[in-house]
Amino acid sequence: MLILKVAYYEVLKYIRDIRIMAILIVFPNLLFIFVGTGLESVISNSTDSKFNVGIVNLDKEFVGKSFDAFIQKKEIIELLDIKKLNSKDDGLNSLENDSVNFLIFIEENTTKKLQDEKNNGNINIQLYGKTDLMYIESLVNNFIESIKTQNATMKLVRNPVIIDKEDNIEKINSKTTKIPDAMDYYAILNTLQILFLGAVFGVLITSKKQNSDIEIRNNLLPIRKFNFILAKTIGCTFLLIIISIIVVLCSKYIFDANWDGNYLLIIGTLILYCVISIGFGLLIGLFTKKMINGLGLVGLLSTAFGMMSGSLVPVNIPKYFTLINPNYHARQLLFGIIYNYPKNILIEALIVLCIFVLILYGTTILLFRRYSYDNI
Amino acid sequence: MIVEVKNLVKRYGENIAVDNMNLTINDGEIVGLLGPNGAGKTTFIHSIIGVTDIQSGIVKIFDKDIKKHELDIKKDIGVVPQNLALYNEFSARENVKFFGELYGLKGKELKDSIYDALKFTNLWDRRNDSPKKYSGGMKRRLNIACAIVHKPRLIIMDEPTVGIDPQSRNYILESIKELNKIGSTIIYTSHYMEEVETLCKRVVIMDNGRAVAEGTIAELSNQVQEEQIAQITLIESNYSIIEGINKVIGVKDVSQDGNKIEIILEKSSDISKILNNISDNGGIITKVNMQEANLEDVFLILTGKKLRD
Repeated sequence: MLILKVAYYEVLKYIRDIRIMAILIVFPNLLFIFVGTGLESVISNSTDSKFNVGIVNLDKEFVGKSFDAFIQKKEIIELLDIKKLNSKDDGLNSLENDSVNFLIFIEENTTKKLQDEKNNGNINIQLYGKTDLMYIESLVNNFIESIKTQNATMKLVRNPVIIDKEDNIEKINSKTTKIPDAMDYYAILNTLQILFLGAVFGVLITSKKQNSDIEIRNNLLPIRKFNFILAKTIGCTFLLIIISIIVVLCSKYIFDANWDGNYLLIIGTLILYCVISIGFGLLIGLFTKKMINGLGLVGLLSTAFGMMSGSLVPVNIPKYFTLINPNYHARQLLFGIIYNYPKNILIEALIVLCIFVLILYGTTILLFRRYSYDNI
Repeated sequence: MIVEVKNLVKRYGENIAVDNMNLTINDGEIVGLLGPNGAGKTTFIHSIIGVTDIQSGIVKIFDKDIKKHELDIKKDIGVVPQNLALYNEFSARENVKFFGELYGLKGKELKDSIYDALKFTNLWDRRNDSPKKYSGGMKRRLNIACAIVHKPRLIIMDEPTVGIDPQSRNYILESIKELNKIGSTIIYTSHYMEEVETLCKRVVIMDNGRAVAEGTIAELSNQVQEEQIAQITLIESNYSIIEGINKVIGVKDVSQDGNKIEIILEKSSDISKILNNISDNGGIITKVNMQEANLEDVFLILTGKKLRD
């Protein structure tokens, strides 16, 4: 019960702190206004800002034809500047000499592989790019998922293989309606970017505040230090989850961003990400010891992760950096839920986020055993 | 016994903050803990209440070892920290309620305790205001209310009257006496010697992490005084009276200012021999005043006059 009481007061304390609430609620909405709408106008009005994509489609059957139809959709044409290429080598060369920024490669026997029972209905479309692939990835994954759904439907009606018929191609493209616009794209990135600031709560919980007498008084309470920190962590996580839901609702209803998907899964992902960002803060607070250093490090990490994920300014970052960026995995999961990515991508992102939780909280608990209140 | 500290050592790296400190405090006492800045008072307090780890020594509070019974002991301790330890985001009532709840109070007991603490500190009428709206004195009183809401047996006050007006200080000092009357044992640290003289029967003076003196104010005064100063007023003074005083054994110096004579004599000397000598020489005494060292004198003698950081 004491833990819940401390958690409750922690939430109350921050809710009444106008500065914190302004940073976490007003600030993201300002970003939506200035960056989100700015991006939208850039993407929709300027041909220079279209995604410059090379496509090598060697499959002449169902998947290849469906994809050709898919890229002819109005929404896609508005977003992509497509250059059709003849071979993978051509595509890679074009990527190398910067005549395209992204390459989508569909190999010759993709439809056959899809129809092969042993292949378990999997489909492989390869993506290449020098910069962040997320936007293109979301389109392609969306297409793949539609193909797989159609394939599964055909099996249900005892059709052993998907049939290369116009109406099937039509069905696929009628299902593939969720194409993110700039605001949809930015809503997810911005939400995750803001939620990473939740690490500040973690730093405030575990770092030592020089000459803080409230800290001394709290340390004198008849409650174990670990439980006290756990209680504060629970309170801050709860608050951050509420903030994330508010930010999502604002972006959905005020800025018309697309958050349609399985709401439980979306909230689950946001909770997981809140837990991770606070975990980062707890660990940083224990590691740096001084609050000011901890907050500085959170600022740096937040900027770095933001840049890596493209939510601040788009920069060219090698893809392997994204693996250490929880922001990347969370957004894969969110995009996957909203834009129907294949399940293996969702599961992979979920597993990586869970590993983040285990590592962060495991290390925090280990470091906490050496926690000392000296020099408070 | 409320507090028993034996050979307590607390180091920060190579620096010894508390050096083999011993202290016992009995039930119902108000003990003053004095020392210049950096003497180790706050570290000593943090060490005995389990806020900071100690290198060696035994600390027993309420006859229980602090290391083994930390949570049990903490339930009965209230601390008024040196600086304000309040949440500005909460009202005064919420501040007191927060600490009351975490000390395990609930229901009617909690409600009554909040009322008692805020009434006691004369803040009940402003209970719904945030501490941000309070004056310095009111904040200090709320700082105390948060420490006493659970009616602790031991209250530790670390300079609770810093930076407030005389009215608030007087109110706080009276409150401390009241708390002591209703059964709390108090450890009081302050730089205001007159506060300690008013409140505390026993005083411990710390310097360089050690207790350099301990006892009642009279005992401390005796410890440091090597000589006595007597001021004697006569109806009329003359040379033979002064000569006579100078011949008394133990008199070190005599000075005269009109009818007033100031005599410095050894601590062991008997003043009655001087008084008899004056009478024998025809002097008529109207007033005798023996000047004793006050707590500030004692403090400065024991800790020196050198400025501290």
